[in-house]
Amino acid sequence: MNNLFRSAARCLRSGSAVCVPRQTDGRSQWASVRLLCSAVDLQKNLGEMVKKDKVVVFMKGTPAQPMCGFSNAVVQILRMHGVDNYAAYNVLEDQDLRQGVKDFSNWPTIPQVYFNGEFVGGCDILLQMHQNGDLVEELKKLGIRSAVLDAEKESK
Amino acid sequence: MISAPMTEASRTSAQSLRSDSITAFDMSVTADHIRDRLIKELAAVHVEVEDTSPNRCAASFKVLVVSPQFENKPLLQRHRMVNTCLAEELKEIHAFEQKTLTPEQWKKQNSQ
Repeated sequence: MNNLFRSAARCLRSGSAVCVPRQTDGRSQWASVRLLCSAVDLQKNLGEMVKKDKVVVFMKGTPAQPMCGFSNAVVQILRMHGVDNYAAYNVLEDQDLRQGVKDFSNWPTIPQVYFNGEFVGGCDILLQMHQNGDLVEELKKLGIRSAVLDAEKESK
Repeated sequence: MISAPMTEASRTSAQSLRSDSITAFDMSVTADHIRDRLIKELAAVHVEVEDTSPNRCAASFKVLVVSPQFENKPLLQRHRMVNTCLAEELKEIHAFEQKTLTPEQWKKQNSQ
């Protein structure tokens, strides 16, 4: 019980209005407070996760084994630009993360790509940025030289 | 478009996702329904909706939306407008691809 109390207090401190106790029977009330707390914590963690690495991808599967064509496309585009060093989170391993990241970015689909903590878009947007040259520029802002530039040089 | 090699694992996951979405599938989500909504709410002057379900992850659509409302808006914002417009439908759809063009961009693309 003590533990529950602490987590509830933590939740209330974080200023979330939805945690205000409601007139329900005691047990379900505590359960919902706990649930909300973990959701609030996840959102906070996501804020840190997307900032921890220059390039962050939330995807289905892993870069070595993508489990969806769209996630695979993102992996292939990044590979083409020589971006190998990025944080990839597999949402299929964590249902809370799968929903949580959608809430975090207010974006309904996976994969999701972040540069320097900022939401870039999903597969369609990354693909169009790849096609129109914006991706090279955005990577440059991150201090990453796109491998596409070297490939172009070689073919000249 | 980059084609995805279908591994055994991804096939299995695609199958299980597909069966999930059929039980949850709202019959009102059709290509026509999506088209109507985009024309009504985003004043789209041209809409193409393609049902891409069979070989993809699950019930999925690919849309091309041409609307004057996209003018002077970055890609991310345009896509968010479409997502908001189809928020209800997207809950039922597993996969969704979109391309958003202004009438001017659309004309230019067609003349190429």
